[in-house]
Amino acid sequence: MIASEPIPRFAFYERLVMRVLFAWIVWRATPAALVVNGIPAPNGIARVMDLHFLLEPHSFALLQMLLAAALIAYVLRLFVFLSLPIALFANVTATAIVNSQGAIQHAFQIVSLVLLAQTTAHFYGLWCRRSGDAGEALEDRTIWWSQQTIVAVYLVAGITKVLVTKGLWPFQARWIGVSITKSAYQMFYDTLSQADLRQQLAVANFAAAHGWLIALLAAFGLLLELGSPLALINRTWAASIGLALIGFHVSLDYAMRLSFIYNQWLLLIFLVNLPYWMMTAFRRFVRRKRAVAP
Amino acid sequence: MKLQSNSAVQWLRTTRCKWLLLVTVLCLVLRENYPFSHFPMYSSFSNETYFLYLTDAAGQPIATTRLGLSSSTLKKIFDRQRRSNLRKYRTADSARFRLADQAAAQSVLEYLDGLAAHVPSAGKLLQGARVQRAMVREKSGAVALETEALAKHP
Repeated sequence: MIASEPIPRFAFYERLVMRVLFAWIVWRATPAALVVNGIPAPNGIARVMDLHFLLEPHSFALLQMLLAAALIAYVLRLFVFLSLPIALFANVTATAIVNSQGAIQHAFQIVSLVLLAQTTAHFYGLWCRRSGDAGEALEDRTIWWSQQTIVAVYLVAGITKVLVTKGLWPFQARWIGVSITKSAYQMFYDTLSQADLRQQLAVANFAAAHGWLIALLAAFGLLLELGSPLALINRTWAASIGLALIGFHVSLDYAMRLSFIYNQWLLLIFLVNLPYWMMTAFRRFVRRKRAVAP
Repeated sequence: MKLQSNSAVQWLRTTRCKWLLLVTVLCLVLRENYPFSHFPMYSSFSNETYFLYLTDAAGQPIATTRLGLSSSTLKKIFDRQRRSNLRKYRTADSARFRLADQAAAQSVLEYLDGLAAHVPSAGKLLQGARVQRAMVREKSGAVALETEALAKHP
């Protein structure tokens, strides 16, 4: 029998911080209310399951209560075999309804996919435990699969760009000024607030006038997406790729007001993993201080 | 060759990144099936695009969030309706684009009517409202806009 490579290990404090922050992200990313006109264009799970019952305010309120209870249990590591599937069901069904209005958003998939990864990893871990897997491996695997899912989202986005444009995406990106203008006006017509309009139009005009510089920056962004699996090599790579992708989102947010805030949070929680680096720096500081002391 | 495929199989059996491969394949194959997606946003660019906005009976712009949705969602709903109308008007020669645009804009207004149940002020705002389309084009390093009305709420 061929043994698989071991999965990375995470300390108790890392796992705890990740659980708390991820539960908060799931809560924020799940719609608090459904302002929709039925389910006119069923998408994803709404295609295989009739979700009209969730349009009833009472059913939706119950779903939210179940989600809240499941997330609290998840943070406390209680009844994980129940809390993860319940949270997954609540999150995926509610967001699938929002995405079944004939307008597909791409802000929430990453959260639902990480939740799916954690649920699958947990049950796979339970199955592995029967063949002698260590107890801690159960939660380590959910984190490891979460990291892989986040990387997969960027890898897929990169592959799609290459496939759709036959590899010419960086060259097409020289027209990004047109898209920035569109998103600037869309933002303006959302609220009629002129706060960002002038700045965004200035960025759009700059992009239109400096097409080849934009193509160069776009090529860097595409390489970053396609190279995202490097984040799975070790913690240093994970933090470096995570920070680079957050930087990529921040610059897109400045130019186009496309924050993909949940992507940024998940990168920060699972790839950058600040608590680990803070603890490492603290331990080094203490060790050095002890070495210097007489 | 056989050696290469053997080592690929060996790698697949031992790699700890199997979930990455599985999710990547599922997202690319299932495409837009929530929670999966092939993330096509901004996967291609063109030197022209458009956005939609609404004006009231007096011609003043309406903040779309007052109707319970964003301008981006408005455009996506319009795009989907436009695509299905283009299939319907396949035989109607060169006029099919205009017909599809107008029918899609009308469908957007009908969708907004349905939303009025959740947003009480929407019904009043929509009376006499028009769906406007602004074309955005890039020509010789500069961006230009051109607007036209596509449909009017009765």
